[in-house]
Amino acid sequence: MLTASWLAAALLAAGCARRGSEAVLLATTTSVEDSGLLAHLLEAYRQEVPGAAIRPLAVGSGEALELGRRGDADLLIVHHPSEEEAFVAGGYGEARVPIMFNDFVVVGPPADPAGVASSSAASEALRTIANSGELFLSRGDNSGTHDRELELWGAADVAPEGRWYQEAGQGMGPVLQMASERGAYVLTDRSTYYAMEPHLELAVLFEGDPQLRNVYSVIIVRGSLREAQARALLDWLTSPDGRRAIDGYLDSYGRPLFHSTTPGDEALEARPGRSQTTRTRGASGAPDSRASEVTGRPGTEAGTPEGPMRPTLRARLLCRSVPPAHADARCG
Amino acid sequence: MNPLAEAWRLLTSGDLHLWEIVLRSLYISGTALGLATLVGLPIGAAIGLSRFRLRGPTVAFVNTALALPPVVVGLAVYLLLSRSGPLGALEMLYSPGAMILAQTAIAAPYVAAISLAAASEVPPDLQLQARALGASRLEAVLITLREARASLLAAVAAGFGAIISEVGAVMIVGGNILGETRVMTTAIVLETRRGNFGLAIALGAILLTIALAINLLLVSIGRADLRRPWSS
Repeated sequence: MLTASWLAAALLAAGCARRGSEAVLLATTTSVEDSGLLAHLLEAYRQEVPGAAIRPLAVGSGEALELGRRGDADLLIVHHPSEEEAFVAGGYGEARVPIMFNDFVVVGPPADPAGVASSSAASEALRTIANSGELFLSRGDNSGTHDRELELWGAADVAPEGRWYQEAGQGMGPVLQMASERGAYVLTDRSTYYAMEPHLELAVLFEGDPQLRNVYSVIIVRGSLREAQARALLDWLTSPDGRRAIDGYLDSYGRPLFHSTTPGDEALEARPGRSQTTRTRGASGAPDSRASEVTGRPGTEAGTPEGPMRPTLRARLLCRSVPPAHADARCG
Repeated sequence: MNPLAEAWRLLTSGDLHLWEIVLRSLYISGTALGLATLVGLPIGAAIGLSRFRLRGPTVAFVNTALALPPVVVGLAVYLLLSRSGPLGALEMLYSPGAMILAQTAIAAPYVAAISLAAASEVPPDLQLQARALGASRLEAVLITLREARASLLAAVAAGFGAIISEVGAVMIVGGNILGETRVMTTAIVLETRRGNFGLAIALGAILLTIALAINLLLVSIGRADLRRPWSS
């Protein structure tokens, strides 16, 4: 009896595995899943390509890239530029294409006890928090968001340590929840914050610096058994239809959460044969010669308005993603 | 990378963070287990040794508590301690105290249900014989429980296993804060998400080794008791 049920379970498992073997395994970061974009995109894609088999898996950027390295995933959507570059340089990626972006914002207690709102740059905002001694909660999980936060501390010339700085080691959603409970400051991606805003006692206190741009790239894993299907999905994501699906995804207040990259944004656009060297990181301050190759511009300094983000793009980023109530004078 | 070699390297490298996490896990789960035993063992033994109407439904109720998902316990403790919750003024959320509270609630049903079964299995004649030989009612109960000590220790071991390996509740109410509420299981989740699979497995091996040491200790306590003569 026991043996029979074991056998049945094994057969069932094997059956599931075989069915799954035709499906593209898409490993994405939690922000893509938590914001609801992933379900929205897959639904749109399945309407276009009936019967397209995709198994989405929401994990951290680090885990997604490791799954890719081990050949357990076919396609990745991640936002961790330095790790992505290492991944492609290590020969694990077939193509790396930036498909969309949103931005990071500094959120904190609505009363803003540290006085962050009047800062002129993201690094200054963080330095203000550090000097005030107010609590700052870090993801502390080597995610793309954590990576950017550490870059900003570097730009601010502040060592993030001490009683005011805590590492939560969790995803964006739980960290926002914790910050709301404790009255702490957090660097978050706008999409996750918008999705959770009704449950949080946190307000956007600083936004709009080009250093806060957050670019998501798609990577096809080299040697994937389902490369053709993976490429079909990538092609769709970068097609006008795919871009419309990304831009058309709104939160419950009608605010767009992600913005597709457009052919005009050369710093973001991927071109055949050059996608692997496309510099997708924001103006993080680290000069990168490969960025110059692609954009045709010298490495730019952190925080300058003329950073790799073109003015039109920056205006779009600032104004389209800011709800009217929060929009500032820069949006005209 | 060989996870066992990595585990050994971690333990011997003098990594204070690791030892701190190990000690915190032991402190939190150990305290919770002590509290759960104080609550669960008397309840389980009392139900197991007595005969009353509705005993069957009561036993079923205790056993059903075993099916409580730890995440649900964590969520309940979270709502209790949240700033907008009834005990929010204590400011206990995201502290080891909150984790102890959640783990006590998870371990107590294990201790109660297994000690209930253990106490039920001792032949009722033993109590009668003890009473006939002049033991008081309390002494008779203690003699019965001593007879069941191996199973009672198994109840404690089961409670320990349930919480030292538990991650859902401690993640919610502890928050996995480095240096404050990060324990072995939440560290394993974090390293997995970071893509450090080898390190995560190594931490798992360390956790298992510690669990083995604790269980050897529990078994030796049972043996020590066995060597003592009856008429002490």
